[in-house]
Amino acid sequence: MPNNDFYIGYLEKMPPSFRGPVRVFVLAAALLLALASFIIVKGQQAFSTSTFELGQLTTVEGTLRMEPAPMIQLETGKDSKGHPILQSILLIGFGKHGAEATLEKVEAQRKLKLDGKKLKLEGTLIYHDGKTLLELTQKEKSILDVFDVAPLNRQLTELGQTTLRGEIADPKCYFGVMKPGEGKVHRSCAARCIAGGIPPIFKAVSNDGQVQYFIIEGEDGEPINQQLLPIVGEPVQLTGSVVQYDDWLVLRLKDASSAQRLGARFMLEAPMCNSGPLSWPD
Amino acid sequence: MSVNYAPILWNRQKKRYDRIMLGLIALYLILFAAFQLLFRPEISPETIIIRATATLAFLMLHLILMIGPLCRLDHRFLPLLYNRRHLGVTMFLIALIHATFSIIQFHALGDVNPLVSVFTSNINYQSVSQFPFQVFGFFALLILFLMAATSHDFWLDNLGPRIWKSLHMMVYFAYALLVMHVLLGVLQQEGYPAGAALLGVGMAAVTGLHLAAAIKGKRMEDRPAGTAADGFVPVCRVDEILENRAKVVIIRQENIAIFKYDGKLSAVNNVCKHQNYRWVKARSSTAASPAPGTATNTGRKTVSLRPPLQKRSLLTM
Repeated sequence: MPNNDFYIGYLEKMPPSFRGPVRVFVLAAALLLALASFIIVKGQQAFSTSTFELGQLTTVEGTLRMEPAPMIQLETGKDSKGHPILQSILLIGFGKHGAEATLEKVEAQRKLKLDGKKLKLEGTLIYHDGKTLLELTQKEKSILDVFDVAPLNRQLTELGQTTLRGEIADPKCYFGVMKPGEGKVHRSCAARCIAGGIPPIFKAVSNDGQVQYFIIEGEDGEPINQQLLPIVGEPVQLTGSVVQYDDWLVLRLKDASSAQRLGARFMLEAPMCNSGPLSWPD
Repeated sequence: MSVNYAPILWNRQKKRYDRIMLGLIALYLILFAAFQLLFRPEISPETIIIRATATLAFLMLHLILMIGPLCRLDHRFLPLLYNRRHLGVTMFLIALIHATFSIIQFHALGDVNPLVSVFTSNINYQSVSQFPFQVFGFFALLILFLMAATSHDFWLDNLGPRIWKSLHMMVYFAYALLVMHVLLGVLQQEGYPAGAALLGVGMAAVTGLHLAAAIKGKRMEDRPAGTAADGFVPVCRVDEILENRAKVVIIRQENIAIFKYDGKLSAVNNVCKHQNYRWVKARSSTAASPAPGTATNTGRKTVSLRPPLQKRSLLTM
């Protein structure tokens, strides 16, 4: 016996015999959506515990250092021998920009050089894994005051040549603003940040999974942001000389084009090759 | 005389359809956010929005693509098809939220225009594994935008069935682009088997239903072969068609439904206008045909047709 029900969409009700299949579809869709949300969320990689204090401004006072990148140098205490313990907070501009442009505008407004001066700054803190950054959120207004006092000493140590494996990232996103702030899905953002003047960092991973961070610059300390753009956000091997500025390591590359691509699976499989004199934290 | 278009001709069925759709969308978004906060509390709000809208839109696209073949397999799914455009437009809007947040998050406030950045921030176009997956998503969104913008009957009438249907068939190209967007984006980064399995199941379901519907359609095709000298094709005996029912036949690639009602027979083209039916082509050849679309009743009570059909052809027994 044929089904005499005929579906007419513009009528108020559907025929009774159509209700069953439609209900089955809706129920199946609800179950699919619920199950998919669980599978997708559970299957994701864990996110970093990094912090970006969005909407919360913090005041910091310290000595401005323009090498290897704009930083505020703080004395956080003394070691057992009475030597000062120095911490450097990396300065970052608003958006996907470095801090240099903002600092240059303030220098022009105040008609003085800021490098080596003590500054009182207000900005948004970004921190993770022992590294701290300050975003100059209010641009030139972030520099509240400038003091002409004797600068803190710098602790510079040459650590020699080394070869490292890891990924080039931008510190602003990696240390707090984005989750994830590394890898292929973040590559475009990292490229924009580095192209905008934010100093590139190299996240190097040791063969036992330990991580160290290096600011990357050219052989003579010059910025090489543009040359690094093609290899941002992918596993690479870099060879260069390492210099320590207070609590930051700097990797100076002779030639950015000598970087070796390692393939997408490196981070999961390959150990880091560390042929230099660097010691890794215990 | 004029034709007026209304944005939506609401009725009870449409309202229920939209309420259920919005309810399911809310269910997914609430569950997704709740699971994130439960299992991955360190996630940022922007990432929740980007991932929730991306996965929801992609899941909705799978459901949308399944509705067509489901209706061909069982006509009782037709209520899902009738208002499918609501589902499609909503899916596009959710995908647009994903794209807008992603472009602002990853490309805005930089040294170049955000849209330029989508195409230039990763220039590994020569590499398969490092290919910029965002480009696939951009062009898929463009197709979905064109489909959503032209989903109203106004555009069907003004673009014409051929262009309209061709444009809307591009959803399959958009789907392929989105599969690449997901494979070379989040799946490559996260590398988790459950996500790949979910995508595989979705692709298998979409492909399997389309194949099943095509096989069923092929089996049910009735292609009368014999042609009389006057060009008429015998189709069936009159009593093979039940009263108030139709028989579907395909003659010279033309899909024709022959209805029997009130002691009469009518032959009409069996493909909807929006499906880019061959009406234009048939009509163009009408002039050369002395009695197109007419049917004849032989002494053996046989229905015969001579396509191409007129807009609606009355048959006599």
